[in-house]
Order: sequence, then structure tokens, then C-alpha cells
Amino acid sequence: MEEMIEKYLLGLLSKEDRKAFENELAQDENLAREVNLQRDIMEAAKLQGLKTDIHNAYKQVKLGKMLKTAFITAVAVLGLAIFYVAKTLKPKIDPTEVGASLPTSVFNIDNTKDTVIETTNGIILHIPAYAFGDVDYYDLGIKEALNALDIMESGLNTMSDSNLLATAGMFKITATKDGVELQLTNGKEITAQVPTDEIDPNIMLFDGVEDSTGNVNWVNPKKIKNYLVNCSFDELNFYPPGYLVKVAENGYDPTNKKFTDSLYWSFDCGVESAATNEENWERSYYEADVLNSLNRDAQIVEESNRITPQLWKIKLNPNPFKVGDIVTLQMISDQIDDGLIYSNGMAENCASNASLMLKRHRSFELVGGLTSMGAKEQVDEILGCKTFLFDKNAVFLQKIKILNMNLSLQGSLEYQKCNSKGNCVLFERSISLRGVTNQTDSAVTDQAEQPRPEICPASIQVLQSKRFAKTYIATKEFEQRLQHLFEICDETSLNVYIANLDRDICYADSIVASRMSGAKKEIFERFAAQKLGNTETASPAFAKLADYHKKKKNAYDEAARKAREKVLNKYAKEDATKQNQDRKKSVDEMQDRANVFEKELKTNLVEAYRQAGLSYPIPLAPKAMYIVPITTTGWKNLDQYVTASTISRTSLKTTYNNKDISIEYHKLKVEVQNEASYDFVNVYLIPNKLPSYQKMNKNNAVYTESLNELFDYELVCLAKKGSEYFVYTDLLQKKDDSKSVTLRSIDKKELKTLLKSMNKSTANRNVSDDLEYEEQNFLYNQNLKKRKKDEVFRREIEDVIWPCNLPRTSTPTAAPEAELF
Amino acid sequence: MKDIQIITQIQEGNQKGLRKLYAYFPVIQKWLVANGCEKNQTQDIFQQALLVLCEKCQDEKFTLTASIETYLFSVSKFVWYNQARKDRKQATSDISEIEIAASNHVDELAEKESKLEYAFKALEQISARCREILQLFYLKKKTIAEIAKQLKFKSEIVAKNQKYKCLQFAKAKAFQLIK
Repeated sequence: MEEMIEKYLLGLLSKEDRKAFENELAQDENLAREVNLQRDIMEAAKLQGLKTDIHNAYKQVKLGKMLKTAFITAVAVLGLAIFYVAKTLKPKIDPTEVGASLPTSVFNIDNTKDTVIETTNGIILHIPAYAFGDVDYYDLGIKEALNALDIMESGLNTMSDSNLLATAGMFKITATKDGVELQLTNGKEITAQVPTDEIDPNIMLFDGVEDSTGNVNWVNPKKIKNYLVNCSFDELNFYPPGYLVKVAENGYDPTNKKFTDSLYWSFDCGVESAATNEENWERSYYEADVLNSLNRDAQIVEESNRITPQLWKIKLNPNPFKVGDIVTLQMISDQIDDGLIYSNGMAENCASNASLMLKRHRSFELVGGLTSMGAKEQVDEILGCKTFLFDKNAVFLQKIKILNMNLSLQGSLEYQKCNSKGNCVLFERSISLRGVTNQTDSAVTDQAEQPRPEICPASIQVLQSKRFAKTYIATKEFEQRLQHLFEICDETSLNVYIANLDRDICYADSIVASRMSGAKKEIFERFAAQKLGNTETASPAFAKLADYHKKKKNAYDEAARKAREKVLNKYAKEDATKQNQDRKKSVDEMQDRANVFEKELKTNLVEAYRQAGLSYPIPLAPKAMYIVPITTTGWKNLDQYVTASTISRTSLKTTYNNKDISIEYHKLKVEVQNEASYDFVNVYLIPNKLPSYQKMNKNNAVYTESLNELFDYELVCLAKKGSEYFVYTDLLQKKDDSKSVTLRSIDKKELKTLLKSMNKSTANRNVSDDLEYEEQNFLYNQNLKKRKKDEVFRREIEDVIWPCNLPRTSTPTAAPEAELF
Repeated sequence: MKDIQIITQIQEGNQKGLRKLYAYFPVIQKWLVANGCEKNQTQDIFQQALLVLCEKCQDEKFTLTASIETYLFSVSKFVWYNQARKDRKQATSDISEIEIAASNHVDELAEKESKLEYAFKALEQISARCREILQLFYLKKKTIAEIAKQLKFKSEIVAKNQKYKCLQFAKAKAFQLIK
């Protein structure tokens, strides 16, 4: 039974037996269980065996890695032995023939077609059509003895006349048709590729002649032509060493050739022309009208209060420097005589932060953000936030890493200067540092003008075009050389190979070797010593491909540079648009806030006077300026109290004119359920009698604001998740002090109508504007995150593509890429 | 070496093919680490991926529609996703044919392994020599004569008896385990 089960499971039963067995199986539960059990054991044994194999292979690989150095030395010694391949085309079909013990593989071949066959030992035969007369089909028998054991067992010897030859392999080809031996047609040639680990230039091909005693004499030695075999570019790795590893390291798929190609080719290597720099420089960082409106506002107040721009000293420290250094861009203003300059690091809505914008350039990268030195901290009373300002000298610092000596720092420092009267103007100081300032060593700057020494990705891109598919470029041998060319950063040497495509590859090998020195020279000398030829299809026309390559390379490089520029311009445009929005938003908001403050103060004052039994005297006290703190030097006590209460948004209880005066503020807390699950959440208060909405501040997951009892407030929460909108609205009761809000989903159209109904014509900004801003802000930040990730990735890849550009802590060892096994 | 040769070697149980596949490990390891895998886990994941490939190679009908490298890469990816309990749909934006195949193969093997868990346990309880006989016979497809020669049994009959006993023993252990 056991045997039946096994035969059944292994599929060895005859059709009838199988059917009978299956019938039995269907009826006999015990048998079915037995079969399942046995099947599982068999499967488990197989899987377990595979696991052991995999683990053993790993152990061998580990061992192999350790032995790698030892192995290379061993090959150098063995290299003295000569490797011969023997071939015989005059076979006899005879049971006593030499090598009768060897198995014969037989292929049935269509004589009218070119045929390629591969034997079990990896010999590849290219057989032309009509190689054997004009028969239609024939049988091709192949005997192989490629290792010492097979050769000895088969009784083949290695005598050439009276000389003993060293051999590593022999094979025999026999063509027969219906048992009759066929002869190779005159002029037809069978090409054989014999697998070998090392190519030996002394390799020769012998014909074997059997004598009557069954011994073979190897005669007629011929030099073997080392044709290079083309393979498709998909099988070749034409990337700089380490490129694919970097791609994988960053979480991208290194086997996606379409992606890895387009990424690699997107790096240009041309020297930027001056014209393109100017073109780029055209873009302005914010729209003129925003700036102008600010200027106008400030200057209408009083013509004589004109604010003059500050003078700045801008320099790099230390200078001179070298590639890889981190230097500081120092921007130091002269003495600020009248007023102050705002620093940075302040809350977005509080004051205008100073900012530095530099045009992206491959010669540097920013290290950290803009910092300042010596700014004083001061609380803005109206806005209730911290500001930082300079009143003597403003000092801004930006750290920069030098990536190449062709340094180009182009951009501007933007800062807000206010005078003591509270008028403010935004200024923009342009920055233009080119080349190396105060650099005495002119040789360094000159060098930067030259094109990169590294191999240009565009060069490689051209090489992978169809025109090169039949040249030695599309071979494993060239791939090997290219890896070394990448490491030495020598496009000129690559061009040697391209200029000599019509000749044997060893010709270029020896020229390149003569250009080199040291370890690299040895590598290329070793290549040259292999005396490798060209591809079988090489033609003199290949000589012209160098021109084609040069032309196309420049075109591709230009295209890559333009594409990159386009991307950078797009980024710059996005940034500029965002900055415009931010600026417009912050200006509008400040104005709205000032208006709200003014109106609220007035309402409070009127109420206070009413409670005091007085009528409110007009005109009203100081007009609140936004941006700079107002001074509350009121001329009456009551005004002072009310103003202080309005600023701090706290209740007022006092007596005036012998009457109790009371203005109530009470705190409201709002909590939004599942807030973290939304892309963004905003909470607004819309007071009925004030000109604009108030945005609630978030503090530790709770939104808070003090509400004035003189107004009715509507609470509005807006949120977005993906493309879905959520909303909550509620008319607040005077006693409400805390709210837990659950948002409901709302259709976009419906939301639009809802928000429209809340619009106040008196406001610069309404809730709908703010929603629009937040949506764009969210998208921008998401986009920015991706952009930053991309840029970091590109910089990492650049290290691989431009390996000679970077300061190296250690010189990479240029060990030849020996096979791992 | 060409992919097809590697597959053939694996099918023949030739260790050389497996060793070649380890050349793909460094890049796959980098990817795994970049995607949150601990470095000391990468070897296990890769070996599991190799097991998926080897197991598939046992099926004569199995053909690769992409290069071994691409296939191994995808398989490793899904082994890791499964282990990290990541959502595959989220993790893979544009899923290609080979990825679907790889993902299925990973699941199939995982299922098979859990189904055979008791059989593995049973095999662990028999002697190492017994396991070797069963592996040589079922996995390496060696004949009884070859096994007798390789494991130096006195005769084929002894080898055949031994194989029978080993299988019976394993079945008995397995039977206990499911009971």
C-alpha cells in the first residue's frame, strides 16, 4: 500500500491504476488520511531540504567573501597554465571511438535556418543556415568534456604530436542525417562560445585526429578570435558604482530601469552659461503691489517720517575656503539711528520675520536656517506675542556648505524697519557673491570654470541608443571597463573607447592604460593583455559614431540642464506664490485685527461711559497702529482702564463718576473631537458687531479666546480630510465656557454657501478666504515635504555621480570587481 | 550567468545557482533597511524570498516573466510587508504583473508552511540521517541506487528498507501530532 500511495503521489501510476486508486480513496477514509499524511511529509521534507540548501549556500557565500583576496592571488599564479579547447569535426560513428563513455546530447536542427543552441555545460553554438549541405533537417550530436574528471574518465588524451598540452576542456560535434555523417560545407563556420572564468589570450583551437589505435592527436592549432558578444542594454549596468545601492537605500526600486535611467540622465554636467543665470534672476519674490501698499500706508502718515534703508556689510567667514567647508554668510547692518529692525523667529502672525532667500545653486547648500545675534525680546501688547528686534546693529547669520569652488550666492535679505513713530517699511537688500571673493589663489577659481572631469550621464545616455547596440559598447566587457572609468572620473578615457569603435577593444585598452598611472594603469594593462577583439558585426563605419556621440551628448546634457532648471524654477515660483500669499494674509490679518481692536475698544468705551452716566466724548483716543505697540497714554483714567482691559481681554471692574463700571470678558474653551484625524482644523469666532472674524488660538489641543459680553459670537469650525470638508457652527450663549465639538461632513457647494452667508464686507479677509489659504497651505507643505525628500535624495545620488567632486576622508580602494564566487 | 541557467541549476539542486542569487542580496538589503527593516532581519527575509523562488522552481510549469533580480526584489518586498503587517496597497503605488505574482507566491508559501507545521515538527523528531534520505529522494529526486551509493548503504535493498522505515516513522510522529 505504502508503495501505491507513493507512486500515486509522485504521479507514477498508469491511467487505469490511478483511476482505481482514486475510487478507493473516495470511499476509504483511512486511506485518504494516510495519503494526506504522506503528502504533507513529502512536501515538508522538500521544503526543509530547500531551506538547508539556502542556508548552506549562504555559509559558502560568506566563506567566499573572506577568501576573495586569497583567490585573486591564486589566479595570478594559475594564469601561467594554458587553456586549450579542442574541437573535431571529422567524427566517426564507432562504438570503440574515443570518449565513447561520454553522453551525447543530440539536437534536431533545421538546416535552412541560423540556429543557436546551448549545451548543458553552457557551450553556445552558433550554426549558420545550410552549414551541412542542402539537407532539410539533421541531428547534431555533442559530447563535452570540460572538466578534468570527464576528460580522464573518457580516456581522451592531450597529446599534440609529442608535446603534452594542458587542457581544461574538449568537445566534439557530429552532424548526421539518418545515421549518415555529414560534412561541414566549405566556407561555413560554426562559432562556439565556451564558458570560462578567465579569458586567456593564448587560447587556441586544435583539431583532433584519431589514429587506428584510438588515440587522438591534436593538430592544426588556430588562434581563436575573441569576438565580443553583444547583449541588450537591459542586461548591462551602465551606472556609476554604488548608484543602484543608493537608489535602494532611499527606498526606491533599483530594478525599475525606466526610473533609474531617467533619474540618472536627469543630472546634467554642463557649465552654466552666464545668460541663464540672468534669466533666472528675473523672478521677484513678491508682488510689487503688496509692498507698495505697505509703503504707502507708512508714508501717508507723515511725509517727513520717511524711513531709509539700512546699510549692510555682507561677507563670508572664513574666506578663503575650500570645498566641503561650512562657512557663515554674515549680514551686519550699520548703526540703526532711528527706530528698530525686526529679527526672525517670531510667530507668523505677530510681526514680519526677516528672511533670507538664496537662489539654489549646485555650488552650495544651506546648513540650518537663518539665525540672528543680539536681538532683544519684547512683547507686542496688541497682539500679545513675543517679538525680537534690533536697535543698534542687526546681525543675521546663515551657515553654508561649499560644494564647489564656483560659488554663486544670489538672492536677498528681507527685513522690516520701523521708526519710533510706529511706521514700518519692508526692505529687500540684494545679495550677490560670485566666485571666490578676496580669493588670492586664482588657480582654484579657474579650475571651477572647466567642465566636470566625471563621466557625464548624457554620455552614457547616448551610448545606450540603438546605434551602439552592435558595437563593443553593448558588451559585458565594456561594462566592466566602464565601472573603472567611472571611478577615475575620466570622460576623456571614455571618449578613447568611443573614438575607436571600429578597432579591437584592446586598442582602446592600451591607450587608456598609457594615460593612467598606479593601480588604475595596472587594471587597464590587464584589460589590454586580454587582447580582446571587437564584435562580430564591427564595421569601419563605427569610426563615425564618435561624432554622433559628441553631438548628441551635448544635446542631451542641455536637455537635462533645461529640465532641471524648469523644476527649480517651478519650485521658486511655488515658493514665491506662497510667500505672496503669506504676506498678503499677514498684512490683511493685521489690518483686520487692528480694525476689530479699534471697534471693540470704541464699543467698550461707549458702554463704560454709559454706565458712568456720561456721554462718550469724541473724538477718540489714539488710533491703534498695527505692527508696533501702541502707547496707552490716555488723557482720562476711564479711557486708560478700558483700553488696558480691551488689550488684555480681561474683565474690567472699577468706579468712575461714583458709578460702578463693569465690562465682562469670559473665557471660552473649544475642543474638537478626533482633531488629529483631519488634515487641518481651524476654529473661528464671528462677533456680530465687529468688522472681522477672530481666529481662536490653539494651546495644548484646546482652542481658547476671551469673549466680550457686549457681542454675540458665532462659533465656526472648519476641517478638511483629503477632499472632504467638515464643519460645525453654533451661536454661542453668553454662559458657554467650554465646548466639545463634533464635526459633520459637508458638501463643498453647501459649505461655500454657508461661508458666504458669514462674510463681512468690512473685512479684508473672511472665513472663506482663510479656508482657501489653509487648503493651499496644506498642499504646499505636503509638496514641500516631497520636494525636500527629493532634493536630499538627489544630493545623495550626486555623491555617487560626481565622486571626484567631493572631499574624501579616505580614498576608495579600486579593487577590481572580481566575481564573488 | 543567465537567469535560465540559474533556474536550471536550482532545479537540479546545484548549489552554484543559489550562491549566485546571493549577489542580489546587498541591494535588496539596502532597500529593506531604507523601508524600516532591522538590518539583522534582512538575511531572514532574503532567505525566505529565496525559498519562495526555489519552491516555485520545483514546479516545472513555472516560468519567470521578469528577470530573477526583479522577481526576487518583489518577493522580498512582500515578505517584508507581510512581516511588518503593512498594507500592501498603500505600500505599492503601481502594482505590476510581476508584483502580483510575487505577492501571491509569498502568500502561497506562507500558507503552505503553516499547513505543514505539524509535518515539520514530525521531521524534526526523526534522525538526521532519516531526514537526509527523505530529502534526497523527494527533493533531489535521487534514485534508491544513488542514495545507497551516496549514503554508503550496503545494498539498494537496505537503502530501500531504510527509506520505508523513515517515512513510516515520520508519518507516525505526524499522526500523533494531529491527534
